[in-house]
Amino acid sequence: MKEIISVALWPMEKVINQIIQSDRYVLNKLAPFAGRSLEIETRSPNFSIVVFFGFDRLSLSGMNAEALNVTPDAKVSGEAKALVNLLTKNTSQTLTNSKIAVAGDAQFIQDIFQAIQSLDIQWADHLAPFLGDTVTHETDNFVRSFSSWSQDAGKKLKRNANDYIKEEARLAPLSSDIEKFSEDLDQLRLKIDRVTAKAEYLFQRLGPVNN
Amino acid sequence: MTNNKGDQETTHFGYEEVPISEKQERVSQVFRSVASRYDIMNDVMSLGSHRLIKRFTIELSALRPGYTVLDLAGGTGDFSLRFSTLVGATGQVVLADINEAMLQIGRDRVIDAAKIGNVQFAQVNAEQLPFEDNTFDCICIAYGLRNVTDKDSALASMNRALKPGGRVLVLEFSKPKNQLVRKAYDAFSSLWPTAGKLFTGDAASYRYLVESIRMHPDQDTLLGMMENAGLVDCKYHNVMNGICAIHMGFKAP
Repeated sequence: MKEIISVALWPMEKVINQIIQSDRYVLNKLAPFAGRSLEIETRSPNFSIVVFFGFDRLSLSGMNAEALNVTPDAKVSGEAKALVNLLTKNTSQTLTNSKIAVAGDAQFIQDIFQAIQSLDIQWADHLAPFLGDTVTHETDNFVRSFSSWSQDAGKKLKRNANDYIKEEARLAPLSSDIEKFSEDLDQLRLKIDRVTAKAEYLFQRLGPVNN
Repeated sequence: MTNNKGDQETTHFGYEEVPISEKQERVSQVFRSVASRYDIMNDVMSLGSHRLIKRFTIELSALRPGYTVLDLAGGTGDFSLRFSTLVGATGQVVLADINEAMLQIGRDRVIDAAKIGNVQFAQVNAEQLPFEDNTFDCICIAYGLRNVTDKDSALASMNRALKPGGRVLVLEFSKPKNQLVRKAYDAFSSLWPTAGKLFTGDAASYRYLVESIRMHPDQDTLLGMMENAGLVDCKYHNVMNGICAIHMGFKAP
């Protein structure tokens, strides 16, 4: 398994380093992390990567920090999906996600993910030398149209499922029903408060008579 | 591992028992003979897998910018090229080999790759490293230890030259764990002398390589030797079921 991960990381590391070295902006963003290391441990699927930051490159290792006998500056662990979200969503929100555990220098992690989020990488430009212009162009078009289609399809699926569950199958209440139920609850709460207040008032008045 | 035969102490050279004083010269002859085609033969003998194994070893080195590394028995400079990139301008790599022909090829490759500035070259005997104590953050010896006459001295010498907390990596052919893999691998490696004859016109040198692999200590024996040399936290990673093993040990802090 270690060998397979190592093989998979090899081309990935090469592409990432190509991007870093060909873009001064990216280089400047990552340079402050030189000499530091980050362990990323995912569940489902289970595997670990240790990222070593250099001045103009990074190295990826498919073994965990214990196997490498290193102490990383920080460690992020969690479900793969939650970790992917770290790269695509607002860091300040996702780092507090209960599905992600952070150990070590949390500021370092925050800085890394903020740096990554601030990068606008043109993947097609960097993949062209490996795949050739035509293949890269077609791949880029396919990825973009697939991404657009999947987002659109996702929204439609969500809307249709929502309509079916609420309107057709009546498996979940409509929003208007929930709002009405919520209002009724508020009214009931107010009535209970009023009755409680009246009862307390009466007990106070009866108190001296009993004594 | 040495034996006494009559008055002379002997050691193994492949399957042969030779006087200790002869082994170094005979190993040198082998590597002089294969130096110019060493990389091609590595690809043929390992079916290209040596690249993956080397990558795996480099991962285990966990090098960072500024580190000082000794690439011992560094031969044609494969590791030094990669180490040089990883340690950067603030680090230092020493490409060392006992064999001048291998070192010359390694030196040419490193210079051709424009890795100048942080790579030094040294012709050294691993048993008596000519470096001050506590010099290196990492010492890597890949496919070299089995050719060293006195492996225990070499490991002790590496321990001495390491900085406290520094690591030794020993990449070497080893013993497959699975019987079936072992038999298949033995059968495959018996083809190497023929391949050697075909590609380099030299069957004898490759016969020595096969024999020396088979005579090399297994994983656990080498682990014990490293511990005896004073290295701590020693462990090994089998690669491809143990066809190769990467041993790692540290100098006590």
